[in-house]
Amino acid sequence: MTAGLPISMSAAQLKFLLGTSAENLIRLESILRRRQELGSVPEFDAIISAMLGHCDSYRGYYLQYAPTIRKVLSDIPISQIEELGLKTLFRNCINTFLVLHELLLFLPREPIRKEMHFFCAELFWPVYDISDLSVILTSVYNAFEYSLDAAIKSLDVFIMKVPDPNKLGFGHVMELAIIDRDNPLSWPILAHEFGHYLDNKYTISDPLTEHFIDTELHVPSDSREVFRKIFKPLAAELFADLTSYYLLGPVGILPIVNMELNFGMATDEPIPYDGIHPFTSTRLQVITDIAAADHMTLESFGTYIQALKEDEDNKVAKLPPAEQKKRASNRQLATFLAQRLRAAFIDEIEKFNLKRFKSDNFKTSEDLKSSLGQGIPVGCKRQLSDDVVRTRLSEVTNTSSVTELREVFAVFREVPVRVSEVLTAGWISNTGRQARALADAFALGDLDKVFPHLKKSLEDQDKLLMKSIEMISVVMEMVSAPQ
Amino acid sequence: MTYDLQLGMLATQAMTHLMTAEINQDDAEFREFLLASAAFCRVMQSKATPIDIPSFDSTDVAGFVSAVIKISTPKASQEDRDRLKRVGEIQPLIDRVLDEKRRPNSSEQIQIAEVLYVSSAADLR
Repeated sequence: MTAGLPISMSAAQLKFLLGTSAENLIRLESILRRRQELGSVPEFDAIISAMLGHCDSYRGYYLQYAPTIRKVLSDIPISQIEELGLKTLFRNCINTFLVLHELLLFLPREPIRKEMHFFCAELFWPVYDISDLSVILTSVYNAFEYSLDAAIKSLDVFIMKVPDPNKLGFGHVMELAIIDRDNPLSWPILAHEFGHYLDNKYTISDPLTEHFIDTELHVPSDSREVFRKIFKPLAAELFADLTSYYLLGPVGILPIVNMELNFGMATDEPIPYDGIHPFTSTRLQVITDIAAADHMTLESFGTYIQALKEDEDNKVAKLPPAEQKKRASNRQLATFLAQRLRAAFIDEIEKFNLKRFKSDNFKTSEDLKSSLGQGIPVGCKRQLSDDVVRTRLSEVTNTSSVTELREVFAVFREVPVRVSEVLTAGWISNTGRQARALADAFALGDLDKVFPHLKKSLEDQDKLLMKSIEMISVVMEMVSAPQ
Repeated sequence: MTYDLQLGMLATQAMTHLMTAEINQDDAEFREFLLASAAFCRVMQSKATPIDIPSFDSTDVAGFVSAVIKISTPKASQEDRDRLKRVGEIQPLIDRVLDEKRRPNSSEQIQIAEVLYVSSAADLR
């Protein structure tokens, strides 16, 4: 194979990219239209119009590929030219999306949704305090956590104008990409950032990594500093991933996989090592391993995992042997680190008394998924199983007293589910939704209806999840109210 | 990340013409594909061509202008050079097919399409 030339993609990966390209365009366009309608101030019109123009163009190109897209959706093989055409479309669609997202910097920043406030308060309880930790939106298609003290230290302009930031106690910030504001499925990425917050505030991963270097690697004292520089950032990322896993189970890693797949389409090379983050496939493996040990599986999310594996394998295979070897060593190193520190990290997270996501919660999510599929919000569940309810109801007789009847009907009592269970159910349900929505949209026969159909499917899902999260808060209030 | 919106749009436009041409077996669309591909090559090359420094009587001014241009012109990466090389390879092919007023054959289509795809990648570094 000639270096630099494109590689063939599987139908699974093409379908995934069809879904994600359309979804990015729809979400971006919705944000822009909302800014146009709600925040109508003339100084932003030119920016919004220019950005909407780009979205329109790519929507038009996308629809011109309808005959090829229909073939992909029906698993009919496509020609080499058709594949090159689709990949050029995906690549430029995603790259344009990344650039336009960054340009959202020029528009007023929206506040986060009340459902996201509740999500954070509930998921990070009892550690989360809104007065301690701000969540804001960023125009960078990524997520971040940092302390304001550190931010101020890095801004030269402030050095002469503020007192020593160390003495200010400024607090912390978590940032979520603007595009993810209305998409609860992306919110698990905040759990990763919350892991960084805990790590930075309570200094957890650093001393454990030092101990690992001393006891496991036995390096000479003059090279310890080098090993610290290599391992500390990797360990901090693994700690954040494990925090996210602890709180949300396997879905904690999925927004990162999704993001990686978007970036992956932007280029022909595998994402290079940035000196901080282990490769996403390695992180996914770490989570898959720990989930298996906890009797959970990522099988329900096969589409994403398959697409990521295929993307990386194809790209790595094209690298020169020396580069491949370097990546393999990096992967080995990160995996070894994770194996050695995993238990200690989980023990440290345990100390915060956060609510751990276990296999029972995963089971609940699988049950909730069917309700979500029927368009029913899933903020609560019946406390007792159907069998128990039936047995108790069969005990009611014509002569039962009102008190007895009240007791029996208490079997219908519902309790709130966890936000982590709702999001897991959402992810399970979303895995098939994207492909179904695409197939349905292109089966309509009228290309003008394709994007409105996809938009509705996406918005329905977002609303259903938002409603479910809101419902948890309502049911919690009802359950805790005096009877 | 660096990515050129204009080049991306031109590459997508060209490929969309090719798709339509293939489906409808339409000569006019094949020609649009070639013209859009030629525009892609031209724009890419014009962006990479170094700016000519005018001659100045004063060596101080010439030195200053050349230093400013050096600072403000991003250094081409190996990737950029590879892309330019590929574009340089397909441009004569596009011109020839246009001159001959014919449809590009399958292998020519693939050759051009591959360059459009590879050359519209973003640089993540």
